[in-house]
Amino acid sequence: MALKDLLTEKKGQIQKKWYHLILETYPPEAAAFFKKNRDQFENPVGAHLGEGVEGILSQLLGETDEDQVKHYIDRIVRIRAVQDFTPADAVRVFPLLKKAIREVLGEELEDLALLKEFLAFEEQIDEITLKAFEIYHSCRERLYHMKVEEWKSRMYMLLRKAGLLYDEREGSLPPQTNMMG
Amino acid sequence: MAKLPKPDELIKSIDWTPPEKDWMDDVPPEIKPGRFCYPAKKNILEEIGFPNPRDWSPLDDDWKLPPNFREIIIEGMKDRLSKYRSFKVFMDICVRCGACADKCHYFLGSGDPKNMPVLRAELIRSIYKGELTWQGKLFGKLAGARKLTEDIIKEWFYYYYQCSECRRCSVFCPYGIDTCEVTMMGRELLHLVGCNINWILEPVRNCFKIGNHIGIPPHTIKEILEYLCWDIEEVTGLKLEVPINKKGAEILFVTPSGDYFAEPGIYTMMGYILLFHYLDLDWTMSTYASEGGNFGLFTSHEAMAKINAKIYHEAERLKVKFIIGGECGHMWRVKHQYMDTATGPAPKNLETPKSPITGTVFEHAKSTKMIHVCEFTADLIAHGKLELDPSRNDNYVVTFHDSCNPSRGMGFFEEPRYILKHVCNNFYDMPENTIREKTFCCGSGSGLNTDEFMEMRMRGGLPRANAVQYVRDKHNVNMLACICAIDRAALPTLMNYWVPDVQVCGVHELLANALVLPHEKTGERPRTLNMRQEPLKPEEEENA
Repeated sequence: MALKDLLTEKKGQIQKKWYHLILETYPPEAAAFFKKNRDQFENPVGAHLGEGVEGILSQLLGETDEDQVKHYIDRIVRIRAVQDFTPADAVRVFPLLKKAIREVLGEELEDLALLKEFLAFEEQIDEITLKAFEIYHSCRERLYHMKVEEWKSRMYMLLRKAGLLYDEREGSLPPQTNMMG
Repeated sequence: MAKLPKPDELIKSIDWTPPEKDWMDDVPPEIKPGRFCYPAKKNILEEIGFPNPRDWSPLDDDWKLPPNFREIIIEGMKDRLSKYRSFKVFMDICVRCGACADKCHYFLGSGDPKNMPVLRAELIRSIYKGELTWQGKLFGKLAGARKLTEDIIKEWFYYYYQCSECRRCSVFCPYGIDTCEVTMMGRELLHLVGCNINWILEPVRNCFKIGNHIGIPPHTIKEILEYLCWDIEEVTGLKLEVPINKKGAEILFVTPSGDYFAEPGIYTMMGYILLFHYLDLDWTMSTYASEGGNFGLFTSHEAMAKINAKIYHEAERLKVKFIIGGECGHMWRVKHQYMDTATGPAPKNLETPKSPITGTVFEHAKSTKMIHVCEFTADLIAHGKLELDPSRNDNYVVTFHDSCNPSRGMGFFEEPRYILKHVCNNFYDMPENTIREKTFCCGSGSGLNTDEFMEMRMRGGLPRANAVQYVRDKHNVNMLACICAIDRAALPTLMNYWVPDVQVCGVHELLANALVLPHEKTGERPRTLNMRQEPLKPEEEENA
């Protein structure tokens, strides 16, 4: 049996295993809650992680459009980028998929032909990890960008009064002589 | 009612493995940047006469607490337990049922168990037990009791400034324990030893000293309001003036200062100005009571009362008849729940608010003499006093965020929705378990809307943003309306991170867009721009 068929057959198990491995990165009380509550509004973290896990796995098995994978990675990484994780721990969820597959397939992977296929499949997971790092970085960048934007909005009228604001209606920054308003 | 699990389900759901570490042993927390707010500056504490002014950082090992901090806190606790029955009851009656555990947006976003409201309250309850009850003294940890140490102060500071006092947890508590009030007490006790944050106390100082959070002096307020009037002229062609400190005016209008200096609050301010002009109201703003917000609420009952008193002083000095308050969140918790007892009775010149346009008497404000601008406007619409063209807001598909304080603090659900449904054609509510009394906080309330706290704000705001994302995907919502200045400051940032294509506005901004002015009716100068000076119609339609 080819690896993909095997993975498709055991998709449910792998998905569950991977999801549980991700939950283990949270404190046990929180993990229990994220796992238990299925309401997408009352448990957004659980819902986003679940959606991401399912989406990425489906994409790897060729069940969905390749373009969508970024969306699913985003569902997971955007949350972890603001949670209590180091950058490495934030994106570690993706290598955890390898662990999940190994644990679920176990003995089957002793078959050399299948193992070779699995090594190739792992490269796809590595690619996802790299994409995740890209998204993680853009999230962190956005946080810093937001801090600056927030200060500008907060002081909007004062900056405008002092002539320090780029105003789309004005077309350009006013000359330095106007700095004192 | 919640579905009861069957016995076998219940047994399966029990995890017998004990947690690795007891929460009681897990102090102090690991304090990291992005998860705490900067401490109050030494000079600020000195100026407002708060204890233990010093230079320190939560990242330091030594927080420079007073040597007798234990006695100070325990005495402070005793004093508050004797003064506030609610605090005493909240310390005694919690049965740890866990109904509140998963209701806090900070817990939902972070997964930190100490952000569960029950555990957050337990941080203080365990000290109450360990220091002030015989059961706690006798049985110690078995009775859930701890002794007060410096590490516990650090833990308190970390977690009581990770609660936005939104009260969502209290909605679900079968005993009605208001964990927000536990946080308030926690913060009051921390003030006694000088552990507090600058983002709250500097605005408090500015309010005491100058009149508003950011410390804008009177002449600058006047100039800023003139700028806004010029913007209104750009949009409508009307030359308007905002009456300032006008003695003998009928109405004193007080709004959060964010409405006249921060974006997008200014568009809401333009909305009020335009509406009051349309009605030809006899109103005034004040440069002394130039702040509707009250960061005293996040500080102590004394600070809150002192800041709030300025509104009554000014109402008395200007001899107005009643007060209208702008779209603000925590300001309305103060007005609705504390103003009457903390700073009342209202000055004698004030009368029960009566709309000069419709004649409606706002009996519920008989005592405070202050009404919410949304109830005033909703009443106008109900009486057909406003000519509105909702199609002017057709660029927007709108949803409404119930701000915590007006919704849970005063049961204010319908008035803003009533206005929105009359001023725009596309309005969709978010899912039921995320609005009205179950609304999710913006994640930045109670004086936590500062940039150094960004990561916690994004975590805490996730449940709100998640619901916005749902209506964005389902109904193409692109505008999030709210009636709170902190929301107007914090939600754009929150949206920027989670749902970038959704903007934020106040209810009166949309009202101003829809308000048909007499000269517009005659076709003299049809409205082409909204308050943000963007075309009313999509550009392609305009060019067609």
